[in-house]
Amino acid sequence: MKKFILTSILILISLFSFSQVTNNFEDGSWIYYYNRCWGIGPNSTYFGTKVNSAQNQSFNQSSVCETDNLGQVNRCILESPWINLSPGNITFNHCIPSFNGTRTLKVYIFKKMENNNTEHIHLLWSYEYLDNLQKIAIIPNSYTGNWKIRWEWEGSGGNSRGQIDNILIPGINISDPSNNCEPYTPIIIDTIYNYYPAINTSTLAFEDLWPSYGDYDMNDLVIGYKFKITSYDSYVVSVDGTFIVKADGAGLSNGFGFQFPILPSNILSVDGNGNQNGYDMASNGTELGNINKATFIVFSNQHDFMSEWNTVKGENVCPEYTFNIHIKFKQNSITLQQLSIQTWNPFMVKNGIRGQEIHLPNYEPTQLANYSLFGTGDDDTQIGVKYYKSKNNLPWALDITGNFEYPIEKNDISTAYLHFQDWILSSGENYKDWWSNISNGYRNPNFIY
Amino acid sequence: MKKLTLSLLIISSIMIACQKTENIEPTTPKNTIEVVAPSNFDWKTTKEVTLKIIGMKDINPNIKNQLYVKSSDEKIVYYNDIINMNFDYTIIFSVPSTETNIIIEYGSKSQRINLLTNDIIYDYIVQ
Repeated sequence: MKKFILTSILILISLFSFSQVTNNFEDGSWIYYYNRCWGIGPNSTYFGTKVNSAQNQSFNQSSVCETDNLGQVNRCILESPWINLSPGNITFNHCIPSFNGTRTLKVYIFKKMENNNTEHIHLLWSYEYLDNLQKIAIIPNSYTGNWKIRWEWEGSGGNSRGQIDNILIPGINISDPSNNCEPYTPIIIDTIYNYYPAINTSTLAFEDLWPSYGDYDMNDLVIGYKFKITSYDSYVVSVDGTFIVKADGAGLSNGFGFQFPILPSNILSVDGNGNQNGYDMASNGTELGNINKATFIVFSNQHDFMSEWNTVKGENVCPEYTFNIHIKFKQNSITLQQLSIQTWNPFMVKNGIRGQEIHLPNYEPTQLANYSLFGTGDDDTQIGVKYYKSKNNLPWALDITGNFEYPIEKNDISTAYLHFQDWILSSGENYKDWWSNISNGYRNPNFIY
Repeated sequence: MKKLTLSLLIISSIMIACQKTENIEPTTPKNTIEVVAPSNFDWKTTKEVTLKIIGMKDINPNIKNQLYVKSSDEKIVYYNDIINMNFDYTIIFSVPSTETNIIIEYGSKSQRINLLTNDIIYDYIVQ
């Protein structure tokens, strides 16, 4: 036990003792070091210092930090990041490659006081060049705390430059490149909210006669949706799904559900859904039988809450119906990226028959779908190749960004949206805004509900 | 007589031209189900973007900050999370297919990135 404690103490001491900030400028780019909080580069503050790979003869390495011609610019500066200094020697190589004019190099430590922005600066070392030989500077430092090191060259006459390389500073780099290179202060890990697809809803529009085409008015079930994902330290805490049922242009009694690409065992509970008649649900609120992907049933029959079609102009209208589904996740089980919310898989269940699922084009069925229906009627699903597309590659459902003003009953979507077919034929390259553009020639309002 | 002949010629040319026009098929069928969509068309009104973040391996290992991926007008946040500046990440998110560029913010750093491709790289470097 004694040995263990002694070893631990020695390791800690050695780690602390050998912490040092280094720079050998071998990356060869001032941009590289500037973005790591070294005061270097051709801007007004650090004008004249840059990393130069052409001067490889100086310190037997491929690049050094070099000033401009000090005979012309007279003064150049290099600054370290903020360093929590430890006592010890600051060392570096330096020289002037040609000896002409007068040249001096001074090393300071400095910091800005937080309250009045004034600078505390102390000269550590000064050297006047008398030749062009390469040198090693060893500067004892007893200061501790948060400081920057500044190298300052001065010169007049001649054309010689200053060079520096292989810097070693006892201490820890505490500059934060993500906060204007100020000393790092830990951020408070707090709850993060993400919204998918955005803070406003997008729209799902279904045709319900799959595997036959139907009237292609895309209003048999129209649902606005969005998700709010709550996470903490990158792990999903909960997902709140909002589903606004807008249109019920169907004679059939259709249900609606969706899948996440995660195991059902990651889910703690589900609240806020409607009727789930005819479905087998587990105690955590996911559907039994779908063992590979968590499956949620929002409602089993839209006629339970939609008393009108909301697809025929002049007829009675019922209010939109909103479901707020709250899904709690097991602690630290799924990260935001594992949830991969953009790959959610919504589907309609046709006429209360569980196996008759209708998905977005190229979205796979759940494990409870009736695979024998594939390839019947107008459907041309080929497992592993294409899903829920016809022989003409047409779908039975659309996922449309933002609000979609759906067509009226029995009117083909193309009669309402005049560039819908152009969008299809161009593989989505042309008329990317076919539903949202209200300019002349884009839509026929007579056929939009 | 010349005038009459000329007029007849013009009228008959117009009639022939009109007949030809009548024979041209409309470029898009009226019913959507008559359309043959390209087999590789994904039917999406969004596009999936893969953002590869290259961490700065040689800085203080504790630096964390909040990453925001925003729309070009900065009104929509497509993704946000607290990430460590030292680590590499791959983040996948979707944007409307009409979006042409995004803004990435990380602490004091902000960079507009063109969506010329759906695979983008961010390394915190300001040029």
